[in-house]
Amino acid sequence: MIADKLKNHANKLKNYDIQINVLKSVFYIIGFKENKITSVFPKEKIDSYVKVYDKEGRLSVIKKDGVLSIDDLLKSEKMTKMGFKDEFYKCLPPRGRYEKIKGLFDKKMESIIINNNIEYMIGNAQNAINSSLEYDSKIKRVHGELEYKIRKKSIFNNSGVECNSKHTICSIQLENESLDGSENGYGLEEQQQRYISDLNIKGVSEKAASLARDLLGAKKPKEVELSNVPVILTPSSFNTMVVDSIKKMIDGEEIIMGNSYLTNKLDSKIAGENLTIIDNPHVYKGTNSISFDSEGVPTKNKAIIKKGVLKTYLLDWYTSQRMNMDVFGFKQGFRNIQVKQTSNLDDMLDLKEYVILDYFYDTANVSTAEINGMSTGMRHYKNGKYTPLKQINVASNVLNIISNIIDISEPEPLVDKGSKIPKAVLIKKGIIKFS
Amino acid sequence: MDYESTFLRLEKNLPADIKFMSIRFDKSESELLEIMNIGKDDKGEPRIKGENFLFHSKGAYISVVNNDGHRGETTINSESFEDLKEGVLKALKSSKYSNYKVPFDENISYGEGKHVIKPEINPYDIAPEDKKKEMLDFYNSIFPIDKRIISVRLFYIYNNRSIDVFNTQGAHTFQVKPNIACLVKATAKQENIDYTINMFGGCGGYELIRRTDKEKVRNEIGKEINWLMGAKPIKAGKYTAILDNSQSSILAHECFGHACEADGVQFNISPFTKELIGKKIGFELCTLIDNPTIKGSRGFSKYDHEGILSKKTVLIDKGVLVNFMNNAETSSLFDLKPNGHAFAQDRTYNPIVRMTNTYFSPGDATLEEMMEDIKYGVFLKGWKYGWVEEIQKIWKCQVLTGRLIENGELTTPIRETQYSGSVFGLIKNVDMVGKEIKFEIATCGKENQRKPESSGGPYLRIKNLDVGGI
Repeated sequence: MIADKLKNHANKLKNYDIQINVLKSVFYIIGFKENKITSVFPKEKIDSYVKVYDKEGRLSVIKKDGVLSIDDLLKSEKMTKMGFKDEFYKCLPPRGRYEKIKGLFDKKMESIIINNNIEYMIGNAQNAINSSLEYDSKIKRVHGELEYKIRKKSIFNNSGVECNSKHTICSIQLENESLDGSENGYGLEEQQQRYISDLNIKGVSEKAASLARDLLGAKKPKEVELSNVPVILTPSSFNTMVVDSIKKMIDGEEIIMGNSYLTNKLDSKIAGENLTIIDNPHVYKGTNSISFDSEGVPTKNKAIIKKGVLKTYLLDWYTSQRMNMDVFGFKQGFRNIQVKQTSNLDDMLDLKEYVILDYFYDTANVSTAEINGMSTGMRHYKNGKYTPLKQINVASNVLNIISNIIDISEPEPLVDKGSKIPKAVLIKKGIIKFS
Repeated sequence: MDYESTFLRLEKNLPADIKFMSIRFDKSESELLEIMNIGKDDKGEPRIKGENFLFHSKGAYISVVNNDGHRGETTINSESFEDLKEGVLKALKSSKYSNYKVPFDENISYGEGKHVIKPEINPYDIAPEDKKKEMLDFYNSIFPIDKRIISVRLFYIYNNRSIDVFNTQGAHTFQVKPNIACLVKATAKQENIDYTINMFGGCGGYELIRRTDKEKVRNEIGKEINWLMGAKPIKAGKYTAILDNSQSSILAHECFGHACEADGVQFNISPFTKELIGKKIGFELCTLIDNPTIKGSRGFSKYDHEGILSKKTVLIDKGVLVNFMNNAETSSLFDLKPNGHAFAQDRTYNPIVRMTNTYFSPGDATLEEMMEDIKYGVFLKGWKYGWVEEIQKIWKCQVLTGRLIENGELTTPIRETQYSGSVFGLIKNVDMVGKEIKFEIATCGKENQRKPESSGGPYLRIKNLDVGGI
């Protein structure tokens, strides 16, 4: 209804290129702190925005918490005066065919939200708390958040693009704290799925609890002698150190501006032959699956790194036009990352000594590719036992890391549906420095 | 819209099982201009790309406490009586599913009053073309600073937010607050590529942009680029370190500020406890303050988002922990005087305990005095970001650049690095505090909410600082 009115008006403005996005979200957030449900927060939100380009390519954008009005469109036309002439802003993505992806919408969840069946959600939240506490008597505090969301998205522009989609996202994030005297341990686990029934509440709770138990008493040793030990990256540290770093470094704007270390490295070898990363936005039930991006460009299954060679930059419509390259619908970044497996976890753990690098939140410097951060939770395996560590400085270079991968395990099942992030990625010794 | 009469009607029709209701009408308007260079044109000049945005947000956040003491909340993007009434019922329904009893003080003193800050120069009164030209002139003046600069990105953002808070315990506060900021990121290339970030602005209008000493900003960018282009990676280890103003600012915020937020103390995710109040926790020159009353500051607040008067709060006084920043709930729980530190990102969020302008008080040392007896140490300069991992009570700060200190002199420039620690580990190792305090403006993220704030500090000397590197 809203979209139709705006669309009719937009189509009358012949002297402008116009793109309108409307996103309607309905969600429940259940927050828990120290084993109690402290917050039950239902929200409804409409986010809409209009992009207007005049004939010289001057762009203006109006974003609104609510429904756009005809006045907003008129204001946006006037605001183009503050924009900059730009020949590449003259046109919008053309009408595209997009593949309809099944499994993006959960009718059960819609009925839960419409009927305000909060009990069902509270039950899940309480299960999460109980499962953690029951896992080990040393787990004393559980904090976290359970979120259920329905989103309806409409995009249209006056070059003929019109896309509508409806999808659901459910997520759980759990932080567990183990306590024993003055010592504590920390466990964090999260999961995102399309369907409520696919959320593995017990699995996530137990994983967070086991991490908190395993890191109980973690300390920073006086001397850190780990630099000559192979390193295992967990799904979360691989995601941050490698996937997020590469994502920033191949961002179209950073490439065009020459800011990134990966500028002019397309089709060059940037990693070992054993690394292949694909982004597949069309995975059935995939958490981040989309048919089209937020500009209405159809998305495609695309290799990011194939056998160590950089195969694409992360381009939106503008940067692809500017660079005269094909566009693959990357306006919203990576969707479902698939990392090719080369081994399995059991074989990889057949080592006398290694370090599991986890809880690492820093990405590489886009310009230098260097990583200089800190892990708040690691484990050192030696002589048949694990020693928990924390506050360890970690320094390396992301390109050096991906050029020195020994093996990549099978995917971690607890990670988002659709993505295939390995349970473990084994890196040669001496590549990542610890102190 | 007459919010007061709407609230009074809602209060009159309040369901019997609600003992407390609070409504925040929250309206916000922003404009943003982003300028960057996308490659070069035929003459080799930077090809400019610019985008300008307007954002609007309007609606209400509703919170209730039921007779059992449980809270429920919701948010709506409407201001109509019927929608608000429905929102109150929704919040009441939510409250019945909570099993957490909210600490509640029936005698808490809420504010009553209006505070409207009018910008001297309202950005909306400036013709868009003029504003664009002014920003573009400043943008273009960055390139000549150093011929190694290959790209510049400039963000200008202005936000004007008005907040009306009403509750059933007598709060009625109205505040209008404009905030303006400009951020410049310059990337340079020689043997390596690296970038620097500078930000300025505060609570006010376009006058803050015009009054900023642009030459000083350019000089700072030039100095940082000069250091970065010849910089070497640092060897990891324990150093005697001197933090510049921006680094001590971020330390005030990440290391001590978050630890002094009462909601963290409440849920045992702060290293501090209520029992530590009045106890000496470290170096006697260490005094930490959060002051929302600094006029023109980015963190300025007259009333917080629960309708409580925001007050200057001394948190650590000469090494003794004396107070926490609190909201209504935690001031009741800990029996502390309310100091008005509850803020929400926008109408869709609940207010949580936040910092405003957090800073260390100055000491009496000069930089020369701090450096003179250091045989081998580091000078750390310029912020990138920082974070705190609350359950494990560890913080870290990311450093833009710096120099080695050798025999009391600044020597080799160093590349991006970071340092980390625990509050108690750090506070006992601060041994000298500089004379002059300077503020940095920033945006803090907590529980998925972003808030404009500032933090400040003098130069600090810290022994045995754990600095990362190769």
